[in-house]
Amino acid sequence: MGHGVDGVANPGATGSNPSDPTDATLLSAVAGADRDAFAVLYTRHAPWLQVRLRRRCGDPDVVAEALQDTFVAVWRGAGRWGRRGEVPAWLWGIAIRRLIDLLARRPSHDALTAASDPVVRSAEEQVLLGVEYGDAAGALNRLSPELQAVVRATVLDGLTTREAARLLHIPQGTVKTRMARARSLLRQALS
Amino acid sequence: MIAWHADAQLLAAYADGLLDLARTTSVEQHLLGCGTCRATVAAVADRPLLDRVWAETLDVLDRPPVSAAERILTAVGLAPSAARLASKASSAQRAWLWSCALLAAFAIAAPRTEGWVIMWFLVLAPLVPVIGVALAYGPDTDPMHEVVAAAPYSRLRLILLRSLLVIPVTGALVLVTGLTVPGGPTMSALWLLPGLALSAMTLALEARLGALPVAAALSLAWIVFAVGARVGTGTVMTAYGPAVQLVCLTTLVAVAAFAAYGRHQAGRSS
Repeated sequence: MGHGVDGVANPGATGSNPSDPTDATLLSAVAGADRDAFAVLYTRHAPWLQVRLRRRCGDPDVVAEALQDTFVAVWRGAGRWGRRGEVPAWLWGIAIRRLIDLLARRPSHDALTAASDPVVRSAEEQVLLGVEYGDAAGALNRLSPELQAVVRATVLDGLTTREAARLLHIPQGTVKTRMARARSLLRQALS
Repeated sequence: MIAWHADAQLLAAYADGLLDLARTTSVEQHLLGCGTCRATVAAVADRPLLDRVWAETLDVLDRPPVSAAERILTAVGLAPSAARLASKASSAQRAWLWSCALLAAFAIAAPRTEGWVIMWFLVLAPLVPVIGVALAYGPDTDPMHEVVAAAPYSRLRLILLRSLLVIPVTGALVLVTGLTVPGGPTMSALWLLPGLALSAMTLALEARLGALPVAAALSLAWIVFAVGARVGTGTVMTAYGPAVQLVCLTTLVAVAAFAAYGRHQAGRSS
């Protein structure tokens, strides 16, 4: 069980040190069933994946299961990465789909309430945000939570309409309608 | 090279869900491309959860893979431990193939012969799966034999479990080869449904009445029925009529439902 857990407890050891093996090197080692490389990969990527998954699902048990499924899939499918694209984006693509699979099996789960935290902003903060991001950010943030969830799933997580529908527990048609509404609202705000 | 890095405060706010959609988006996009910030955000990750997931992940990797046969058996209501025992499988493949070949040979030989031979074949064939599997999984051919012998597990129950696995595959074999013999696949495949129904019934009843009496009683009942059909109507084929096949199919479905219902009981007793 042991190796790698020590590394997890010490995130400073990973990161920007140029002598560290690259993700690509690690993945090809993992494809050759190298447990040590797998441990390094886990140490490097599991933490941020966990943080990001938690933003999509409030239940820590489901997040843990999705993370576990992700790394089991990475271990078995490391050869399938094929050097196309960035490793972190590839990992997130696996993780979000594992999460969708898990959430789809829990009919009672309400992905929307679990994923979005209503944030009340002060007027000053709104102004600062306007300076920082311009109108696009303001318009994005003014979308209703339902529309935000759809934008997040389709645009940011790169999910298909079908996957987004499974994640949010709404029909595919609703995903399309909401996406169209969000798009027209954003267009209005920017014109 | 990315010159800008998110500060720890922003990343902590992101992790706590305090950012709006626009800023969340920015952070997430940045994280995908910046190893330094990924390392920074690791500080706010749930460390006990990560350690637990790591241990469980290794546990899953060390677990032997679940075979397709096992998955099917589990899906139809067997306890996972029983499915493993029935299909194990990767080590006992040769034994399993032998039993398949034996059954297929019986079925293919049958339509080519006439008279008494085919009569006795049709009487005994449904009982063959259990016997054939018992032979195939014997001490000489089954690598699991010693493990199984040492386990506190009814040997007959194991044989029945394995016959449930063998018959469907044999059935497919027989169906394919049956297409090449005169008379078509129906003749050589007739006995499969009764055979499967008998094995399944024995399996379902053995928990209550004991394996040996049930198997003996059912075998005897079948022989009496088949011989009775021969004496009564002049041909043993009566015992394989559409009505009988339908009854067998119904029995199978009922047993499957029963097995699914009593799954937890089965899990405890195995």
